[in-house]
Amino acid sequence: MSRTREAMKKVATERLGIELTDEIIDSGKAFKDIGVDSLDAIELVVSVEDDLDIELSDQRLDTVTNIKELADYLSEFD
Amino acid sequence: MQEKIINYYEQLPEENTFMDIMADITHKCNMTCKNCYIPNRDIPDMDLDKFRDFLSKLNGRCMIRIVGAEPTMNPQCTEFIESVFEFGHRCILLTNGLRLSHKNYVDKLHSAGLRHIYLSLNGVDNDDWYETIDEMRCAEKKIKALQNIRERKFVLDTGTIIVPDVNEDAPGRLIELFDKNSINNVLMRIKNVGQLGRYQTEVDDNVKLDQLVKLCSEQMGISEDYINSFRDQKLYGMYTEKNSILFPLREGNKILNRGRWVKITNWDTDNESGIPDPNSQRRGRVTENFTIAPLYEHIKMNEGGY
Repeated sequence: MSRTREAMKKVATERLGIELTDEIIDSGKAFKDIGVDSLDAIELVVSVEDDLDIELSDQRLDTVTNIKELADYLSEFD
Repeated sequence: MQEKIINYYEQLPEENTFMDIMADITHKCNMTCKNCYIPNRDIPDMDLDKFRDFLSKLNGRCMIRIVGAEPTMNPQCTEFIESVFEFGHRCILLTNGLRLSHKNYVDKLHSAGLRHIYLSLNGVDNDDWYETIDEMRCAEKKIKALQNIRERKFVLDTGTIIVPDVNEDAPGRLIELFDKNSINNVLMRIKNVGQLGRYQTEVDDNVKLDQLVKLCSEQMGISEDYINSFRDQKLYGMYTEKNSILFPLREGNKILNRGRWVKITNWDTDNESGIPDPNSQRRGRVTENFTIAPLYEHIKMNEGGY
């Protein structure tokens, strides 16, 4: 089990009220198609960083366009 | 004198159509700023139970802006914040930061679930500017608050009102302050004086939107063309605001508040309604009766009162 993926799911549920399943994450849908707008995206990133005590690169985040890409990037911290 | 046209209405919380809702949880303040849209200090604090009832009925997931006068003057400030999250909404605290100069208080806000803070920095790090605009030499406390916010990794917005012939160098000075304190993720909100409540600059003397663009361009090392290319774009990918321009300082930066962003806003009231951003579909305000009214229209209708 990926700790970063689990942290992302937890933040999405608790702070955004969005249920993220593995199926949804792996579908590669765009953020807006799963109900995550730009304000949610920053909250998701900041809260995951906070919970896992990691720091994500702004340059890398700029290349992230969907939830799977974010999960994949986070998995580098597993 | 021509009468101003105000399109005022109220909604029940279950009928809400606004995305951003201001909740003035107190009218008390520990500063006496010269530009303040609610200078009346005689209104009692908002009732927490009524606010919770309001939240329980509120239609849609909203950004609740916990504001005041100075919201941290309400002893139940953290309970208000916790309630916002309990009912599934987003929350930002708008503060002058004096209480946030104490690390314990910042920890308390974090424990309440808060992750997003708007800190007013009208004088940046210059006590003379603070004294002229906010009537208090408080730069040291502001910087301490800024450092506490950074250490706790809050999402940070700052707000700076540009007053002519006082702090027109503020955009550049903000960059220097953030460089010095390693503040790399921030949304800098730069605005002119709004002629609502108590204010120190009349419309005719105000720094206009084009001048704000010029000041930011000159002091932040970006071209006016670059800034102007963001005019009329959807803010946060969601809505357009005629009186605002939002852009990242680093071209290509996509995630809001990651890296340094700037939002220039025209608060001039030089229009037929006499308020900034008339008929905004975005910003509402909780009324004394726990209905929701359009923000600036409500402030104007209640000037000197609530």
